[in-house]
Amino acid sequence: MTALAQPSSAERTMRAVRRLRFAPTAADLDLVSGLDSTQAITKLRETAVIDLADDPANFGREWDSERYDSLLQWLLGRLLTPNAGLHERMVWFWHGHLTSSVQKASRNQMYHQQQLLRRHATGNFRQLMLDITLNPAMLRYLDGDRSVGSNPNENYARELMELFVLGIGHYEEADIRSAAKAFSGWTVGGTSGRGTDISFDPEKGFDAPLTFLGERRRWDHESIVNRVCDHPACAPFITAKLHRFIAGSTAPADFAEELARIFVDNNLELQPVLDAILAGPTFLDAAPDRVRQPIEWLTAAAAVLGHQAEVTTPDSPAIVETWWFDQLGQVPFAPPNVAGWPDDDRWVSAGQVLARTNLLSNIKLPATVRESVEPTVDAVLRRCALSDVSDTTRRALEDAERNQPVDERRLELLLSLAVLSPEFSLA
Amino acid sequence: MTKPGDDKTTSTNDEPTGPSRRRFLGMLAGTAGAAAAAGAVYVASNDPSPSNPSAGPSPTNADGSPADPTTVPASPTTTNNVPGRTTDRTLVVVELNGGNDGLATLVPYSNDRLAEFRPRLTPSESELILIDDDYAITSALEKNWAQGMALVQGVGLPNGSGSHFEMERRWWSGTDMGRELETTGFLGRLCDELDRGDPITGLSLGTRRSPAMLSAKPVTAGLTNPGVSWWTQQQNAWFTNLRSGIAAMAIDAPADTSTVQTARDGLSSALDFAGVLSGVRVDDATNRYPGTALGWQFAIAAEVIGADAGVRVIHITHGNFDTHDDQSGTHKHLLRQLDDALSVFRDDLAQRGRTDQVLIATTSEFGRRPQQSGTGTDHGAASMAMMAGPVLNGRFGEHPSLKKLDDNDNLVPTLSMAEYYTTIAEGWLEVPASLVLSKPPPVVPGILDT
Repeated sequence: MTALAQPSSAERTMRAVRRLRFAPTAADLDLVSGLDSTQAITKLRETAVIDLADDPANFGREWDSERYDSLLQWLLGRLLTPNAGLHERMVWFWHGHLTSSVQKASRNQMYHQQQLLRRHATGNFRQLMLDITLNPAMLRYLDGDRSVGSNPNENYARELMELFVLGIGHYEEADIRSAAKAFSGWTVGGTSGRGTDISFDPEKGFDAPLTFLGERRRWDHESIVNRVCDHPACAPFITAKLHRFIAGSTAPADFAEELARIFVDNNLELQPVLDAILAGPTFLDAAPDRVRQPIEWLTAAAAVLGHQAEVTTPDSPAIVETWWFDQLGQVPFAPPNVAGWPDDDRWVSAGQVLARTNLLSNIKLPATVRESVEPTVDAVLRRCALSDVSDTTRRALEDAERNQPVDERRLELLLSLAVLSPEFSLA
Repeated sequence: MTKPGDDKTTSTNDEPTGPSRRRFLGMLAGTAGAAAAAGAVYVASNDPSPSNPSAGPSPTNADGSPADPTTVPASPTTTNNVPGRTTDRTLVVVELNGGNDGLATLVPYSNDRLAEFRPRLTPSESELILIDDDYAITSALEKNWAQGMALVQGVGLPNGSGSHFEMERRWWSGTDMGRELETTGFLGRLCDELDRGDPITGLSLGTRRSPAMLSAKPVTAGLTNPGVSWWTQQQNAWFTNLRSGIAAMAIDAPADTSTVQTARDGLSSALDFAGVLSGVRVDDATNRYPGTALGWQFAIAAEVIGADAGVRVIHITHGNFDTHDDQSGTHKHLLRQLDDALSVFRDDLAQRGRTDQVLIATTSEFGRRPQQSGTGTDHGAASMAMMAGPVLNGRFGEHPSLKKLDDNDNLVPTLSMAEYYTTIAEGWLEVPASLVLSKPPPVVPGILDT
């Protein structure tokens, strides 16, 4: 891979905005105007909303029909909340990592899981894993619900180690069988399985010594999760994925080791690792090699286009109609499988561009955007939180500016091209 | 089955996404360069295609005579193998979601038990086209029956479930027991195998991207009628400038990282594909396709196949066949919609010389229960499936017994989903079934005419 030239000072500030806001808005750009990247990071973090939601305890029919058509719209409201920042990005990270799906869990169970992820998003990883292990949606999704010790379901035990905490190759099949026994005995949500209460029946559990990761003793869900989190493979596995998500690139080996060490030294607290990533050598300077997932792209584009989640007035139309998630191949609460959404370049492939361009061909700009954004290349790039763009991208925009009359939707054209640009597609 | 995480997170930088990109950039560099820069490459093919589908082949079996499985289907084509033209075998799957009633599609009309089970649902003689002394096809499918079809009897899964979700998952994933969480779909795995570096090998056209198309490699895409389709707006300067802008951003810049290059490939491939789609006409004066959701899907499919754009598998959906009540009216209406759109599609393929290149095959998560329930039917087990194109005509396999039902009073399958899928994968697409199914059975002989 060829290295990009060193990013300009302005581009470093823009990267801070792109990575510390879920969906950067014009207000965010004003906020960092004239600041260098270090000041910008501080400012963006100080002003970020940590949205632990004024939402009711349950995603009930009465409540959602008043405000949202669906759980998807509720989530979008969160993602597009002005100043939603690192915390919200971490909630999304965990949803893609600790997967569950409406395919097997109820809507309200998924909502409860979201609240759990919100509480722990930048907190303690061990506590997050302890709580998610007994989370109703997770118990449903990975078949912990009604698993009995005499014939336990191994699904959660396997994925806990393979996908959630360690990565493949750090345990034996026998460890999975032991963990599955230790996790047995739990039931979710009454007879329907749809509720959010859980109960433990010792009769259905397993109460005898087991060998797990080389140690023979009595194990339960808590001691298993703690043991897995104490495994030396845990910290490198989690911090590497975290770095790639937050900084948009793979950490070089020495920095990756440092992040893992910080994680262990702080008893798996996430905040110190995040602080280290933000202050580290890669956050603003490494060339991004991760592309924005559809949700990241869609929400960022929605902010650029002045669209919100919860909108219905003709002057403020909703870009974010939930069927677009499906078109873009990423439906929240419905990951394709337990491994979550793939982290690869499929999100800039031809099918993705077709769908994105379709979306952009059907949008209307609200009056507030038409009146506040100059239809020029520079104003449009700034609105997209882009500074350094390639010559080809800039030339494409300049041609469009020249060829499209200003009163014939030039601004829409420039904004559409800018959000389709390779630069805007990068994390 | 692919294990979660095995290869789905692999970077695809090394995927050969090059050919169409090079093709496109070649156009820019060559004589069409100036035109391309102005967006004029994407001129619609406005030639009004012959719009007289009935001038096609003389119908076979229209009189209801027993189909002879040994005759070659009346192929309406003269397949011109133009030198250089790709004639890759292509698959179009039409998913009839909700559970299509096999007994109302291929009707065992002489069987007394049918009338006993379904006093309110028994079709009149005028609603049937007799195939032989015992079986008839619903007249709702008369056009396609006349064009030729294989009716595959008793298709289903062993140990089926009555849940739409569960059975859809098994059909999408291609696994008999859907309990494990699959990472890919049957059609997606086919596309992984068929991939030769074209931008899109599998195309899902329904209102949602079909889970059947989930692939390990980024070789499948979803396309839903978006309202304003940017690829058909040829006369509108705004869209011309949009396409020109995308084309300009697809050109490499010196400092590009491999990720940026991949993004540029995506832009150029999407433009290529949009160029293919620019000829699609669904709702204008030259339109031959019905203005239904199904008509749109088939129109896109024909255009994509005709353009040799590298797409080998297309997924189309139609429904909802979940006829718990008013079955007679609803079921007939849905099959008529299918008949109308599919027959135009087949005529279109014939005019393009592609009949023998495209296998059309239906799926449905289950059939309906033999016993009526009010004016409808509940979820059943075995159903039947339809195939068209390079197939022999008539009934195939064994019709499920109306006497020996399963524990839930449903029809017992006589041909498994796995057999059906193997026949498609190996018999038609020449992909070894062991690569896309676990423990595949042999191809069912005698259906395909290849």
